[in-house]
Amino acid sequence: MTGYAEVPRLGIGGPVGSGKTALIEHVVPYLQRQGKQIAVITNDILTQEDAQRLRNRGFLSPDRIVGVETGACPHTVIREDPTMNLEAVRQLEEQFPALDLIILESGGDNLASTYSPELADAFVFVIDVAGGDDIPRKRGLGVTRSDLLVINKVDLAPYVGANLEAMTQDAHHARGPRPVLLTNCKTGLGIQDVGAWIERELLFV
Amino acid sequence: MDDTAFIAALQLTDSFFPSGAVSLSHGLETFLSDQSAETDLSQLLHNYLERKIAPCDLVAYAHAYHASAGGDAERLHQIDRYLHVSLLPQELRQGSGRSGRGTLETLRRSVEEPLFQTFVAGVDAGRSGGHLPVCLALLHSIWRIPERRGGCMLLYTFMVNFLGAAIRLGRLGHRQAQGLLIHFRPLVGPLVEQALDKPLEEIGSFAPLADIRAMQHAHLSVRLFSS
Repeated sequence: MTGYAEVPRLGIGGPVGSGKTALIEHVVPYLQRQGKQIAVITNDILTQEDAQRLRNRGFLSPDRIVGVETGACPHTVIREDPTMNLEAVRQLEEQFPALDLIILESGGDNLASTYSPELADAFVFVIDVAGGDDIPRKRGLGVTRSDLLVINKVDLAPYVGANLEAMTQDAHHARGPRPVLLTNCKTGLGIQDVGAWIERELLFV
Repeated sequence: MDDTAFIAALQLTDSFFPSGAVSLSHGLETFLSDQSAETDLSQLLHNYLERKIAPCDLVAYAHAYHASAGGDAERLHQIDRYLHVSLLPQELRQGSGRSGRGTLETLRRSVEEPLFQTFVAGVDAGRSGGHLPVCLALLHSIWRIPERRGGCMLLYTFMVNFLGAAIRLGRLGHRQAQGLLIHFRPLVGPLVEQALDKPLEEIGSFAPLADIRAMQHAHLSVRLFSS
């Protein structure tokens, strides 16, 4: 449980289908290109679905991707009782002492989900324009308290009747000085900004 | 039990206490995934308590409680290893160890008693698995929760975790669950009494269907729980 250096941990949360796994699929290769060693823990509602998806992408060796079952409580295992995630962190730290960052992906959850500060050093909340451009105005804890808010699928805004400009303004209004970044994880738009934020805030580059 | 010990007992039995148990179904998910078989939850819980938890976890608990009261960390590790090899299905064995180590980790910086710190250091060093019944026995002893009450707490905690999993799997209503907890109250005391007197060498459960279901869990194509 002790005796090794603690690796910085980044939580990634957000509603189902907002693009959490897609963001990881782009951000991890970006960080690898900067010479960083990464491992990922996924919290999925089904059998290691996201873990398997990431393994199939091939940019991380399978043993650097760990799936943790949530017992049908995705918010509980990142907030009230992160025991199983902390155990997975411990195992990764023991197995890969040279890791620079561990990413913990939450199962899809509601707008009020947050990470225990004892589990993640910082957390990103991912929403998307297709989920409704009123999400920032609802001021859920994920939107207001996350260290970085990512608005994904910006290319879809005209097709789903979302006002991206108003959505972004509402997000800034709800979050004050906390950052908001726009991405399109299909094309890679904005990924460099997210990666640079991670480097700056967690890896002190 | 004085007020301080009573509050300590409440803290350890509360589902608010982070032990990782929320991700365990103890094989129940496999039972309920079989659409071809009707599962009597009340009977199943009865079998688990009588044939698995009481003759196995509770026996280890009782011996660990005595070892803790005697300040014997070496004996605690021995009992912990004994329990480890008595839990046959891998996922149940792993879940018990993860919950126990999670409990130790939660309290690592809050409990300063030398015996606790010595045992934690031993588990860190891999001397034994840190299984939940052993860790709870140690804490109950340190916090002066009587052994018999602690045994009842162990069974109660299992019932709450088991029924909580059944609720989240959609097979039980919250009122039905409370009714079952009342129904099982009279069973708990006698089971604890029997287990407290058993020699460690007699530890072991006989619930083959439950064990097979727990082993099959690893092969489910869709699952929410880690056991």
